[in-house]
Amino acid sequence: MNSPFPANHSWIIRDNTIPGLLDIGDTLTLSPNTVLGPPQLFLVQYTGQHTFWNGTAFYPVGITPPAIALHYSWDDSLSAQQQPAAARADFNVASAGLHNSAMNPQVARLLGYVPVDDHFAIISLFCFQAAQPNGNDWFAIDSRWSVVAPRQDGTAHGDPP
Amino acid sequence: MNSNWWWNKQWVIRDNGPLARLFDPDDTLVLEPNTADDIPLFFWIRFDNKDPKKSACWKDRYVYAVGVTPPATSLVYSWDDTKPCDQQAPGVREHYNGMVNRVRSTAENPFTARLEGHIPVDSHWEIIRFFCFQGAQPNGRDWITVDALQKNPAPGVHDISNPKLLEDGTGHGDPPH
Repeated sequence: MNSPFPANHSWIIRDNTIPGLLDIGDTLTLSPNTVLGPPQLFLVQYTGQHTFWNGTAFYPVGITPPAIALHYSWDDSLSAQQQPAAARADFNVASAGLHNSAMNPQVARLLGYVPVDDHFAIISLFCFQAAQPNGNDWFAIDSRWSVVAPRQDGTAHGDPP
Repeated sequence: MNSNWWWNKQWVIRDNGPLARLFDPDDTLVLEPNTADDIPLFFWIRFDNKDPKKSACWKDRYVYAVGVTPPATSLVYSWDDTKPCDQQAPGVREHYNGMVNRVRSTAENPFTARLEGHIPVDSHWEIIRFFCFQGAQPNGRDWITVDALQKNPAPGVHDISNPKLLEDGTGHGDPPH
């Protein structure tokens, strides 16, 4: 996850299952700390109403990239609710798989955290190059907000504009 | 933090400061690399706590080496490991607390080199950071600080009436004799 691929790429949230953290249409850009060699960290530039994302740092950690298999492409001209049911389900399955693997320290990802209200949400970013059948990149943002209230956890995802 | 002198080394907590909910003096920990065959990419936290409730916070948790620049320390006194934290020579504990706070003040800088992870405490996650310093004490002994961040206080706000702010803090220790 420390390849140049996720860097300086503007990502748009296409679907959101993390209320209070991200809204559809928000954008995230990951700025590497250096362009000379592999970056040690990425700083987030964010547009949207959840300004606590701005300036947060994410570190490439883990070893093994998670495997995903998207069978449909997201239609960026339609809202999440207007996607074909099978397409949205396909992306939700992929997101759920990432959520299950996000606590495995071996899994490669960008790891950081954001302060939300009076506690931290642990955030894992997964970036996939040309993961969609149409060749578009895809990324997923996984949140571990609270240990005892899993309904507050979730995964949002999106792709470049 | 990507050298290996602090791996698989036993550390003893000498002062738990405001982190009594996480460990006690004389608890021990080892940072165990995930592999012995290659450069480790993360480290298991092997905390041996006397209190099983505190052990539960550390069980199967891990940290990653992140950041770039090691924080600076300049300890003038050595910790007397034969005495508890509240019986150190006058000024020693205060000196260590000052250094702990100095390290802590750099910990929010993303470039600061550290071991970072998160642990479940009660119903929330706390951000945990370890800083290991080789030969940092005047007597040549190593030193470790353990920093916990439960929540981010708003910049410039230090309301001591807010108990949540008081739960953040740093403990420290060094190797056993």
